Parts: sequence; C-alpha cells; structure tokens
Amino acid sequence: MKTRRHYPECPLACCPNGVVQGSVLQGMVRTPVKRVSGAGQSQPVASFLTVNSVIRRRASFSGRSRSGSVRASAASRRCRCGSHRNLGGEHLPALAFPQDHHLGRSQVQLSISDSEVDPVCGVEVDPVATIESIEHEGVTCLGARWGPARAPGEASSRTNARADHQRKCRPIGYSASLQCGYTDSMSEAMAQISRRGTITLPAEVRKRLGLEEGDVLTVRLSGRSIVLTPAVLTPIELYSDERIAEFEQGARLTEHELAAAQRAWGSTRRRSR
Amino acid sequence: MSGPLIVFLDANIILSAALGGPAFELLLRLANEGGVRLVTGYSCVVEASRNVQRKRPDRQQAFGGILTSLSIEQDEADEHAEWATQLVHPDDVHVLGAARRVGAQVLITGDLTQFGHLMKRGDLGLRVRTLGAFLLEGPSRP
Repeated sequence: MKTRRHYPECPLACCPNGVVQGSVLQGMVRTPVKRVSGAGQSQPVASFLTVNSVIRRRASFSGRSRSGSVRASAASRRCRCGSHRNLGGEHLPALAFPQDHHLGRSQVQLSISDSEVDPVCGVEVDPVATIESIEHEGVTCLGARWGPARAPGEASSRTNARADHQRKCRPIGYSASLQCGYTDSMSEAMAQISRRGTITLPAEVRKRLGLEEGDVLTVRLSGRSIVLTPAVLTPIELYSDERIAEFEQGARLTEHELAAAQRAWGSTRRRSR
Repeated sequence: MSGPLIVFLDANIILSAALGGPAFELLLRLANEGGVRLVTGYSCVVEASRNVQRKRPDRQQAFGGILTSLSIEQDEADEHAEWATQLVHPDDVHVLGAARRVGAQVLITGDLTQFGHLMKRGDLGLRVRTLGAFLLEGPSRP
C-alpha cells in the first residue's frame, strides 16, 4: 500500500516571500523572472522560478522570455506543503537560487526525477529536482540539487540499497544549494590556425576584453598552453640634453644638504637596528 | 612602522643613477642597508636602458649594477592605471599607476614638467618627490 509523506511547512522557507516571479506553462516562461528581496531579510533566497503547471514527465522544453530563455527537463510532482497560495494541481514548488543568479538573463537546465515507491516500506518518495546547469552571462554554474535533503555522511550511491532506503524514508525537508563550480564558457572557444599562422579570436572574447583592431597581445608559452594577454603599450621617451639637465636638477644636493640627508637617514637606520 | 619604505623610481632616476652622483649613492646605500626598497616598472627599465645606450653607452655597466638593487614590476592596465589617467599625462600613466599598484609610499622622479604639480599634493596616498627632496625629508611616511 502506498502512503505519502506530508511536510508541515514549505521546505524551502520561501513562503514569506511567496511571490511567483516566473511561471513555466507548457514549457514556456511567460513572465521574466524577477529578483525578490524579502523585507527584513538580509540573505534571502532571492530569485524564484515557480513551475505551476503540469509538466510532462522527463520532458524537455525550452522557451524564451522577454529577457532570456529557460530550458529544462522535468517531471511532474504534487505540492505537499500546501502553503503556496497560487498553486494548484500538479506543480513544482519554487526552485530557489542565490541572489546573484538572475534567471531572467540565464539559461537554466534542470531535471527532476520521478516519484518512486520504496520497495521496502512502500513509501512514495518525493522526486528530486536537480539543476543541471545555470548559465548566466557566459558563466555556467553547475550542480545545484533541490530535493530531499541528505544527511551528512549519507551514502549517495544508488547501489547502496541500505543507504538509499534510509534516504528515501527519512522525513526531511529540502535542500537547495548551488555548488559554485563555475566554468567559463569562453574557455571552450575555438580558434583555428591558418596557413600563415594567424588565428581569429572569437568575437565574444574580443568583446568581453574590449579588444579592438590594432590592439597588441603578448604571447607566452605556459607548458602546452599559449597565454595571450592584452599588452600595455607605453611610450619610450628619448631624452634630450635639456631633459637630462632637468632630471639632474632635482637630484642635486649641496654638501650641507647631503650631510643633513645622511644624518636624517642615518639616525633612522640606527633606530631600526 | 614596519618594513622598509617602498620607493618607486621613474625611468629618469634610473638613468641619472647610472650617471652617478652623491645623492644616488646615498639612495643605493639606503637600499642595500634595508632602509628603503627600490621598485620600478618594466617600461621604466626599458626607457632608461634605451637612453643609457643612446646617451651614455659608457655607463652600461653601472646601469646593470643599479638594476640588481631594483624590484621590477610588470605594467598592467588596471584600476591603478585608470586612477593615474586623471592625474598625469597619458605617456606617464604607467609610472604613477605602477607606483600605486606596488604600494609605494614614495615615487621619485626628476620629471618636473609632468610630475611637478603632484609634488605638493598630500592626498594621493603616496608622495611624489625629486630625489633631493626625498632624501632631505628623511623616512617620514604619508
């Protein structure tokens, strides 16, 4: 017999902010995701993407909002906390992201596992939503997990049946964390060497570094890598005799002044010893 | 007070030091005794080197000896250079920017034309001085 575990409160504690900022309807982001900052909360989970419609299990979809696009693959699940005022039917409660991730300009890829029934105790286990990646302004953040929290030290391997059973049956809330393993998508840009040895830097690289035609790069070998660094060009002045005379004027000391300087510095040296 | 004064040398000071003189001898002695730490920028070394070759090739060896007393820093286009653009001629931005970048307390230059207006200012976070003025002031810090 299947039983469903109920959670007394919204596991993400987002209800104080409880504003649906974006919704996924049939795979489309209808409204741009906005930033939320809760009154009186210094470190709130600040951005929410709420999926409030039936989503085909394991379906992949993509949509473009006014300010960005969201791609996701997800399964459906039922609300358990009951505290979302504007959610009905099958839905996914809010997926939360740290403050510095603005989904409105991000690419989000997530997957949500299906509900499972534990073969040992018959408890229906809640699905786990995993954010596969968030790409925000060219930076990809990987590895967010949203779902039943895992106790410290608990085995994650599905092959460990005992640990898996314990995880599934544990009456726990949700965890939502972004493990900030950033990868710069620019690092994978490709450039091909021509017959003459020239390469073309990808436009996005040039744009991000503000490189323009005529700019000079220094080329340095670092192991098997080639490091290109925008060079700083500085003019070299070839001094005239008048200029050299000007320079020497500032360094000219009379014997009396030189003795005074030696005393000033000499006393300091004695003190430092 | 901790550690030696960090003193940044403009290219013209390195050239003048290669030419010699009692004030420069005192400065180098202070560096050897640990009273000051002399720093300069890569482009300052290049500029000084070119002018030594061109004007006084006979002082090449002295020039090489002076370099052994200097820490040489790379030039960079960063926020320090950006800050310096508001204060000096574009051709000298790399000097002031590098001095600030390395945390120099004093920038010594003989270029009164381009840096003279900064020598009376006390709000820069570093003193801009001629070598003579620096030596006479002693090791006071801003």
